[in-house]
Amino acid sequence: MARLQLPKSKEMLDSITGTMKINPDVYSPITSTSRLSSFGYAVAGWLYMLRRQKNTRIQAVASVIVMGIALWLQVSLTEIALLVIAITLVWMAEFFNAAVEAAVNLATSDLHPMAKVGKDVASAAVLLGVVAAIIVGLLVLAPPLLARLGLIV
Amino acid sequence: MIDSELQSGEIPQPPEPAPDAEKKNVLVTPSGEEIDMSILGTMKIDPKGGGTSKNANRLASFKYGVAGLLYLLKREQSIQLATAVTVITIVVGFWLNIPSFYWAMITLGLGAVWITEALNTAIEATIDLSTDEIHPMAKIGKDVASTASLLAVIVFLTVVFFTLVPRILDQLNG
Repeated sequence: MARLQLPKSKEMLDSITGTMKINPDVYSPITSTSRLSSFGYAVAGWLYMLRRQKNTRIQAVASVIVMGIALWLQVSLTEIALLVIAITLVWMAEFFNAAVEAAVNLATSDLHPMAKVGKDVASAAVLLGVVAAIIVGLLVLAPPLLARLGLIV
Repeated sequence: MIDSELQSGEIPQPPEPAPDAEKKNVLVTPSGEEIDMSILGTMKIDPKGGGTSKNANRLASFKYGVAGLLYLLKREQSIQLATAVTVITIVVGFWLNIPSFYWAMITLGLGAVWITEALNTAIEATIDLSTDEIHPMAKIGKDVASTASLLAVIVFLTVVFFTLVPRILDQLNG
């Protein structure tokens, strides 16, 4: 394990503050100029995901079902907050997965080992998010659901 | 909206205006394709045109996810560390007999750490794929992706500080 090194010399400080000094406008052909257009692009990306990715549509349905069950069981507000965070985690991982896939497709048309690593690991992030969401869903919803269905007293 | 021509981005160059800049919300690429830049425009792009391969079914997606996870466990030191931390946290959680509400919070914290580590690795691979040279934008991409991991670790430590640490102190004080 690497030991955390504090900036002792000027060189060390420069290496940490180096990224900060790079201006992305110099390299990017397009940068968002206003906050409103950033919001517009985000909505555009969201619509793209719902239109083109079957997984996202499944997630949308699953999210609505989970929230419906939570409201039906009348779980507490803090438990609803946990569910919202879990759902958001899955959605975020899914969107980043699609973004990385697009970036990989953009970078090369060949079947390259690093392309496989990039895409597989990005989809592993979604898998991890789904696992975390299932655990949270079971912890929050399973006890009241079983009680409501009369399986436990 | 922004109307400018796509560039390769290799050399620092100011963006040039599009040939027909009077057209609103349309981006014209060097190959002559017109991209609808409105909110509904992205939705109309078919990824099958740009992608080399597309998943046929849900099971295949799951298989790729497991393949990526195995790669992470084998190659990524930070994921191996995260695995150790996850196991220790679970053991401590059972030892302290924490309520399910705490388990849910810890799951979300650890989930965020694992997800950001995986995405960090994916972005690193993508950057390595796109360029062989040392480029400032490659540095931004990699540094900022690892910042996401750092932020997730801070979130997890905060969760641990408020859930586990008070109970550990109680346990040790008897």
